[in-house]
Amino acid sequence: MLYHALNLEKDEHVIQEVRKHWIVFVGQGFVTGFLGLFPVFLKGIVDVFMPGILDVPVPGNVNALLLFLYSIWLLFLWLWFFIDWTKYYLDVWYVTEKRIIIVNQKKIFDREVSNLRFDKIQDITLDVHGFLSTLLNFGTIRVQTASEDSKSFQISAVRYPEKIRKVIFSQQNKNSHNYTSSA
Amino acid sequence: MINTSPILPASINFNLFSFVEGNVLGIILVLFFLFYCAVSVALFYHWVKYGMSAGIYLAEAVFLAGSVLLFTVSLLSLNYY
Repeated sequence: MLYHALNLEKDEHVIQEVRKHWIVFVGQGFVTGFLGLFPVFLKGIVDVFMPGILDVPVPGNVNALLLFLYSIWLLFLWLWFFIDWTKYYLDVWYVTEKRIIIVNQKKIFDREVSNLRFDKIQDITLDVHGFLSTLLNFGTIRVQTASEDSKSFQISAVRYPEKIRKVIFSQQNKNSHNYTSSA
Repeated sequence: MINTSPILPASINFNLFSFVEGNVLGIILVLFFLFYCAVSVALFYHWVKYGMSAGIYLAEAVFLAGSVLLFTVSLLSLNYY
């Protein structure tokens, strides 16, 4: 793994990456795929029910024009698909021995990175809501801070939320134990 | 004498698609290509700077291969037009 952008300390390692479940991206991919195939269905329907509608007096080959427009449409969708994928891929939490690095990729040019030390964590809430979430084991994790200006960080549709909560609690316990024994 | 000649010409032979010439489509393709390059540069910037796994190289390769293929199809269709 290439964690160069996280600026980790020398003795710090990423223990757990917390990502959204792949089902989130499958939904987006399905919409893109449908939009990509839609002109083909439309052309099929037009060919069957209104065959004369495409006999327009264009200066060149109508089929080549349609293929040109379709390829531009597919390029647009291809770009859109990868923008969506980038947002999905870069929206992630990294749990290290010392902190949680929260990367929130809201839009392609809207990125927020927060650091959450374990001693600041007050509570972790899980929300596994609905049939599909229970079946595929994904849900929302919400971390509440204990500071005066109490903040809440959350990531939705995350895989194995219970396992991640255990990892965070375990690191929090280790950190508090280390702090107590060093004091 | 009353002038009975019509003010407007008798008929206009108007073709809605007459502007769809090859060079117009070529300009559309060039403009779209520039837009595509600008967004692709932004995507590659994010992948190179923030991509944390080796899988990002696969994504880059798939993106580039798909883009080249689709631009080739659009160029060929323009050529056959």
